[in-house]
Amino acid sequence: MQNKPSNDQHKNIYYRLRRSDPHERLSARLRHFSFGAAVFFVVAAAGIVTHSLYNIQIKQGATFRQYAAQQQLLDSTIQATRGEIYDASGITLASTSVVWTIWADPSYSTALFTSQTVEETGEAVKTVDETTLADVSRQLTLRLLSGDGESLDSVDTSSAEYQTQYQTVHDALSKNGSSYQVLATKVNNAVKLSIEKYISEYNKDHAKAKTLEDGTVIKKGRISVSSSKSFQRDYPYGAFAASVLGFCNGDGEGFYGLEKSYNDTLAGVNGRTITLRNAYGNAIADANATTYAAKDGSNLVLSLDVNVQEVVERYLNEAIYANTVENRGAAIVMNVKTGAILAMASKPDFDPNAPLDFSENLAYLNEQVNAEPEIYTIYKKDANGNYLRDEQGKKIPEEDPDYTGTYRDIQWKNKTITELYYPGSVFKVITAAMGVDSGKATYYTTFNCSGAYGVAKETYHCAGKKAHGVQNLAEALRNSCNIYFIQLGQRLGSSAFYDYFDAFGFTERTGVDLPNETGMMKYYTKSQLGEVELSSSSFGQAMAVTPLQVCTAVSAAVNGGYLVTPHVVDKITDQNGNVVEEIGANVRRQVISKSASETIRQIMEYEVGDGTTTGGGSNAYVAGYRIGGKSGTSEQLNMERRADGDYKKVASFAAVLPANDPEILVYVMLDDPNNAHTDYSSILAAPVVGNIISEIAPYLGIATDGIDRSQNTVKVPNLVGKEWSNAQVSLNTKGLKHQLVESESDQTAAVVTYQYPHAGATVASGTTIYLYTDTYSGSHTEVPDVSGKSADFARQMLTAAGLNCQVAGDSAGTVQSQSEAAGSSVQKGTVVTITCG
Amino acid sequence: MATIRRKKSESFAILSSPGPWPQVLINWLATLAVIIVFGLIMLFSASYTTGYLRMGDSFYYIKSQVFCLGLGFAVMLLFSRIDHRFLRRMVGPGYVVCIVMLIAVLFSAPLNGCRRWLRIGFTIQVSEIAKFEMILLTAHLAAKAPHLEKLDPASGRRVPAGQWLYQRIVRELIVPLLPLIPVVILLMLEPHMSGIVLTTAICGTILLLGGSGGIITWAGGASAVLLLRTVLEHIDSIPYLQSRLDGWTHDLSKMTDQTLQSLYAIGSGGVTGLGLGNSIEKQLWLPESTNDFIFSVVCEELGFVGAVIVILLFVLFLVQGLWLAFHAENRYCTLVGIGIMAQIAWQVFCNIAVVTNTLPNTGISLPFFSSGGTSLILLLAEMGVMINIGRGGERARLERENLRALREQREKEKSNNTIRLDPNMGY
Repeated sequence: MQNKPSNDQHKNIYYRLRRSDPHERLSARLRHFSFGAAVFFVVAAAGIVTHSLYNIQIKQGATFRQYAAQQQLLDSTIQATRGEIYDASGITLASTSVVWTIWADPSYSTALFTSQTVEETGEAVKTVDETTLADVSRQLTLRLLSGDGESLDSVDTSSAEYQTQYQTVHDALSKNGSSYQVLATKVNNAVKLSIEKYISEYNKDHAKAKTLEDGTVIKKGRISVSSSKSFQRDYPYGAFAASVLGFCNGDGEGFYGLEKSYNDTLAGVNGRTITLRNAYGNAIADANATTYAAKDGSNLVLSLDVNVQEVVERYLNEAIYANTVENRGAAIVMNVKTGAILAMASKPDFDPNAPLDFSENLAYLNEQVNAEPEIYTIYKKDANGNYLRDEQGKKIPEEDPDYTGTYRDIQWKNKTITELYYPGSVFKVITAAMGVDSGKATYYTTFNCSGAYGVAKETYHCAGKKAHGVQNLAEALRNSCNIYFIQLGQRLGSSAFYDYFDAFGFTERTGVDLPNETGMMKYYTKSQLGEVELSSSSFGQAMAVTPLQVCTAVSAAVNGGYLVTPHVVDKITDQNGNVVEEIGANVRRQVISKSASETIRQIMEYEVGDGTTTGGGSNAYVAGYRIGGKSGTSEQLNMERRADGDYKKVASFAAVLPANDPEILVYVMLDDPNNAHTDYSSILAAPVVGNIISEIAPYLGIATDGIDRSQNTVKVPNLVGKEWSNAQVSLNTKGLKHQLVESESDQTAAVVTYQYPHAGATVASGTTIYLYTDTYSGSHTEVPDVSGKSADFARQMLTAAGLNCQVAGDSAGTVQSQSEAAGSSVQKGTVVTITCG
Repeated sequence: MATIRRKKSESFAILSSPGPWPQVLINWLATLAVIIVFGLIMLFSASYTTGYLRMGDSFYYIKSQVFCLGLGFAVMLLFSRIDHRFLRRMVGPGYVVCIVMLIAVLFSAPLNGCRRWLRIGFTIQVSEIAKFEMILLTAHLAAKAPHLEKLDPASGRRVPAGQWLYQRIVRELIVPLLPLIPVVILLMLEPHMSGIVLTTAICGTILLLGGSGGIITWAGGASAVLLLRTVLEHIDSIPYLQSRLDGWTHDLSKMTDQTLQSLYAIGSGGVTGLGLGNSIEKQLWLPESTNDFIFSVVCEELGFVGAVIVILLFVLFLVQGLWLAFHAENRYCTLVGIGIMAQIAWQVFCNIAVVTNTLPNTGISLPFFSSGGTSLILLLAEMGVMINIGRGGERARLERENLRALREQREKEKSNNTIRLDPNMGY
């Protein structure tokens, strides 16, 4: 330190190389310089990254935020619950339940695969671990088929159902590249919970690779199975009023029937939630989530009554079966004053729970498709959808056509509004109404029927080529005399006839609140209505109409002349049952005068008679009620003839009651019946109407004829050997009630094997005859103890027990004694006389 | 050329208290503690959804991280008490062990096409150990390199240019870097590009700041930075890197999803962030959100402000650490300190640069933030070494001061002797 180096010594620097000293530090100069440099680097690097952050977070922050939001926001729909459909008494006809779709993410289900790396490419290859896959598939399938997610042991693993479901699950899970594979749809909540529990336990058990005490090696891995919510429409009664209710398609939108026409009302408005989601697409907790609540759909309360519909469908089915009806049957029960439809059926129909299944109806569907080749033939098409044609330019029919779509269309159709037919003699009611209202005819107007009547080059006959002679309007209607109505038509003239035809609503839709009502009509306009056309039209063989048009027109003819709009929906209610909208009677116009209507009621009642007459509509008579009606057997001139060479027929019958002031109309039509004995509607359709009335008139509380028959006695006819529906008709007309004892076997068109009370017994009018179709000895019931009860109450108790009740003595008093001892076992239908005082 | 004879190696205890605690070391440890706590909180925030959705346990990542942190503290304590001379003696055997492990790892089962993890009951990322070993080894070799020393000018001997170059390049640069070559080759075989880049950068930094090679190293470093672009473009021919480099673009539509999601996350943060725990990108949108891309989650949740605080914490930590390194008791300790701080600095810089798309995507984790056991334990071991260096430096400083005080006193006494005699001495 004392020998400081001089300046010129600095200029000549000398070095020597020496080993490093482990105790030596870096030179002070180097230390200071390097430390400074290091700090500079650190600060510079901090500056660089801070600058980058500034660019991204502050300068371009908004852009990135926006991009991020685009992928992070989940806009999900909150499904509105579809409204329900109730009948007039509040019974549910269609409801919505929550079901689950179970799906898997195989790409994330590591437990099902073993991963191996291919040496050359370095890529991981997944191979299915068959043992695990089989076990997991089995467990899932058992749960899916268990119904409640618990009774796994009760699942039959050898059934075809199990095999199919197992294969579906197995195949879905083995697709390792896929991230969405549906395992099952429409799974109920219990099964869904059970599957979730199984999966979560499995994943818990396999969270770590381990070896159990018994030496089982547990592989690490997981299975990804999730569920998503969907809705299922349930129709608890199955194939019941199906064409009216319709059904929903796979997306839950109304596709047919009320479901379609009231889709907007039923569907409600879906809500939305906008929330954040993770990369799996699942919503995550988000304080700023926006939710627009769903507005649930409104409910429909129908004027349709399940009890009436049930009666109608039962008898219609029976008639279709008994008469081999090829092209379905239809029936309507309607309030003639309001247009409210109490029952509407097209049979056979389909189960709206499985609308695509037509296997039950194959026979008639085939018949239908073959009967009208011009409508249903499927022709060959080229790739562009153009028809291929042969040398003559004709379309070439497909050799092996797939009618699946056609079949479904046909079975879904509501026959009462979609198909046109010739109304035949039922239309004579309308022709009569036209004549009476126009003043061209009265009840007493007569025409002569000589058995043949020539118009231009055509010669018309009555059915069976009968000559009816001179008849008034009522007689002509009962005789269903074509020649009388041709002359009445001629007296009206084409112009007036067409005007009335139009006024009765035959040239337009009825406006019923159901979809797919045909807009295509087949009628002659005023100018087209020549002599022959007018003649044919006047007895219903020239202008094609729908059954519902017939019903509204007949209603107008008898209800004082008012044409009303028919409707199925009575009111619309919200989720709390408050009435949102009420659909009342909608009178479109007055077609005929009240007095003309009065005349029509008289002639229609004359047709049905009072039980003492035969022929005409007498089979529709039910003692105790004033019933008007008209049968119609029309020939389907436009269709292929049936096997016996005759035209295909439509047997229809329209009845109104009470005839003096009609409330309801009961209409039945059988399209193409093939009864070996007869084509006449009065034998085919009238009994169906009569049977329907015998059950629904008391139920609906229709006014009776006011005649006191309580003192009358009736001799019970022999019914054994008769077909039960016909047996009932003879009871209807005699003033006896009927009760078909339910049997295990199919009662359709069955023959009565036993009756009680027996034939020949003299019983009071109104006594119920018990009919059996599968036993030759009837069944017994225990007589209840009615002593001390009031006469009315005793009657109810006895009726409920399946017994008839005869009151003796003062009916205002209480029961003093009963003819059958309490507790004794007697035949059902036994008349128990109670003595009151 | 004469060399000073090597002294016989002195004996020392392997484990001993290295010395008193300097104030800077305490401050530095405080900064470290803040960073570790911060890192743990952010890791939990970033990992609980991933843990829940991928592993079925929200605590999956944080549990193992906390466990490793505990283990790491023990290791830190141990290393802080190991005499640096012992560590220095172990670098040779350590290097052999490292090479063996790097070879062994090539026979392990690959993950995502790379063989980086060795399973011996638990998994270790071998390159992390290699990194630590290379810091120690390079520091040892650079410190050991003979160096030119000023001599008495009277001798009249000059160093010829050739000899000077040989000294600077071969003795000071090539020899310390030779052991790096097998490591780089083995890492290439894994392949582990980020490992190579980091290890090389750390060794380079040790030599640069340690003064090895002098002006040549600085010139080389400067030209490397200038040529970085060209180098990256040439690297393009390696298929493994190609895909990563292709994604390094400012065109959002061509960007790799990882980088894109990272930018979404960082951009979403804005100035103040979405709030702790509120990241949306961590909901599986951002790949590796618990690991290499955890800083994106920090940016998203805490915003620019939070990100800058993290950067400043690291800057403070590095500057304090470097101060400790440059105040170490000897050359070797200084170089080890530089190496350790360089590792942290490079990792932090590269990590943040990658997540901000400033550098192409390489898998470099953020120290004390990213999940990863091996990395955390080794980092804490290195922090133990830093503590040892800091305390050793303080002891050496005190010794020097004592020595100087003694010397001054002696000189003072000497001059006193000449100027004034003590009357009591009895002359």
